[in-house]
Amino acid sequence: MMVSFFDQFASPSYLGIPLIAIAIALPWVLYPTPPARWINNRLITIQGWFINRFTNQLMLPLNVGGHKWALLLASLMIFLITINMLGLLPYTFTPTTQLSLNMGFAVPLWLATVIIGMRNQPTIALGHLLPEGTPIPLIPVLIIIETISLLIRPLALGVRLTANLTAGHLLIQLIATAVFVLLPMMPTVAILTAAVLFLLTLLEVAVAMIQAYVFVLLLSLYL
Amino acid sequence: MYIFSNMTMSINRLRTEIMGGHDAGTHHQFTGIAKYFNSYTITGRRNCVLATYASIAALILFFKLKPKKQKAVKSS
Repeated sequence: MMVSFFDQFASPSYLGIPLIAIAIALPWVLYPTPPARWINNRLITIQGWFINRFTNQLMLPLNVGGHKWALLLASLMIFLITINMLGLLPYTFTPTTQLSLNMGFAVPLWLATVIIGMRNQPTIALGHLLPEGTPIPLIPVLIIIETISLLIRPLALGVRLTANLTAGHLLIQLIATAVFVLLPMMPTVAILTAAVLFLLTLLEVAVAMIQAYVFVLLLSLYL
Repeated sequence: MYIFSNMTMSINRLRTEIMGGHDAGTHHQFTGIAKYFNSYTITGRRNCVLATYASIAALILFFKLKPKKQKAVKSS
């Protein structure tokens, strides 16, 4: 059986049972639930501090009405960052490399922001489709451009996350294969390639965290 | 009750002006059609958007409902 570089992105299944459900449920298992204590242990305190800090930062540009999204956005961020980081472990499957999962997050949440905007303040929601101070001849063109940019947002959100993670995983696999192949033939080149692989892995750790943050930040800014 | 409703209106206007990006339209004096279709007030922008969407919908409907010319059948 020919092993290709894209096998790592195949949705895993065992005896016909899709294992992606276990992969998606795994982040929930890894975070301890805070007990009903006045003062918790160090781990739960640090976990709570990070989540609170992040949620505060995310809610800064939003008005009080937007704070209703705090729970959803914070939990989405924790979920994405955990899945992305777990996917960097060898031989693990990364669910966020699947476009279906990312579009499954992006489209409903983006649609919710649009529908809520149209329902609560339709004049302002429609008015934002034309930038203020546009010259008269450009008005129809700009309205069409802004409408297209609105409709393309969920696609951009989903594809950005998918492409970044897929490309990163593919690069890691390619360079790791290069190191493995070069080791018996040209050890010096293999060591240099291994150094590149190390730096790339550090970059992928950063990308995993940043892409999760960008996904959630852009969603919050669409509100 | 009257003072309370006045206060609410002025607070709402203050909130509209503080929340950046929204033009309260208080310092623009448009006349004629520009009063309803302009790119400065929020209602003007909304009306421009709705007019553009209505025009596009009308164009699509026009081309969909236009009767197609039937080619004359040539006798051989």
